[in-house]
Amino acid sequence: MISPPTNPTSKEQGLRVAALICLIDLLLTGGAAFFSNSLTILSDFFKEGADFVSVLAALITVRLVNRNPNERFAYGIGKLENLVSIGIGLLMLASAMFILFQAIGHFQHPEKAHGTLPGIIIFSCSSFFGFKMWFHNRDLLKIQSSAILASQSRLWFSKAWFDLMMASVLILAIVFGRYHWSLYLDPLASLVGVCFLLHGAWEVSTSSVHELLDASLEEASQLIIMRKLVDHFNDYESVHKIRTRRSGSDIYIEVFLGFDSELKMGEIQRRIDRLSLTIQDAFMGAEVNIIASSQS
Amino acid sequence: MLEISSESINNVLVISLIGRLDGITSKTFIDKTNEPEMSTFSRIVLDCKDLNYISSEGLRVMLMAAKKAKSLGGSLTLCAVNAAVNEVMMISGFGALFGVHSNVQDAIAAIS
Repeated sequence: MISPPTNPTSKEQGLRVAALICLIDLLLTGGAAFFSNSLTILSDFFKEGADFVSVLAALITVRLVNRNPNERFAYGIGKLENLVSIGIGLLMLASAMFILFQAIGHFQHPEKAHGTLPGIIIFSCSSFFGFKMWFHNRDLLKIQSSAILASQSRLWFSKAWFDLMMASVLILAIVFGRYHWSLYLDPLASLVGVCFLLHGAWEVSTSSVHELLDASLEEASQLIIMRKLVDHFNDYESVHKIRTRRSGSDIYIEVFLGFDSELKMGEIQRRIDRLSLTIQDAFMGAEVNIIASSQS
Repeated sequence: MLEISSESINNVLVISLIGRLDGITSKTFIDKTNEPEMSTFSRIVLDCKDLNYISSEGLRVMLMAAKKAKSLGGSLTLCAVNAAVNEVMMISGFGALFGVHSNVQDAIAAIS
């Protein structure tokens, strides 16, 4: 069984916790940035800002998506999840660009960082929470498919590693403070952070763009559909076309089948229902339409 | 890219598939199996010795060929399937439905 429907309550709950943690992180990093001249801490403050906005946007989106479809949006607004994920990707890109320009400036005019102890403590704690949230989201993703959960999971993973690396760099800069090269540790660490952010932005955006463009389900899922058609080999005469797509966490499957022209409508409907149920069993919550068709 | 060659052995149509059978090449397969001299055969062996890859769309057109053979009172079977393609056949249930044989002779014997 794959991709059961997203449990809105657990998803919303997870996002609420994430938003709270991000807000605390943002306030703490803001304080640390205020008392220090470290580029690492300042850039992290902006990154935390982007993270907080993205989690907040995701929370609002999930609440909107969970509303029942109305006559204006008869298919629901599942694609809003994808649009928000693209927005998150753009925010991550903007954060990466900001850090990059700051780092270039610090390479040109290196200066010794001071007042970094609060930053080290915050980065260490933030890294711990980041890994904890990543494990939590990863467990949720094992039982439900969601663009937002996937983007959140990636976000926490990159954040946890980023914070761990920043804490390590700030500690190294203090330990080796008497050497001139230690002045470059701060902007150097920022560049690694830029790579993390760019990679995250790319991953989040591409998967969402594919879903917005109604890309078919992945091949593994298509093979499951074929398996169900093979199981019901004698129920139809031909398979004209199979169309699949995702909209947020919703899955839509359309199978165009040809039937024996001698069959009565009632019998065709019984066969359609049987096959439809079998496919729905494999894709819990998916909207499956079997269409009796005479052409491809 | 998909190359298709065919021959008739003991009134069984043996179709050799070379390359990939996917969404791009499936039309080649359909066109070939719909040719007048091939569409009258009710017993078909698909020789997959040189078939490197098959997608779900490839499976669909294979299913269509099997349906056509069945409508003529015959059947379709497969032979010489490599490990990668065989895995797809097993996952999709095609292996169990059509039978996978080690070579063309065995497949012809099984279908005759």
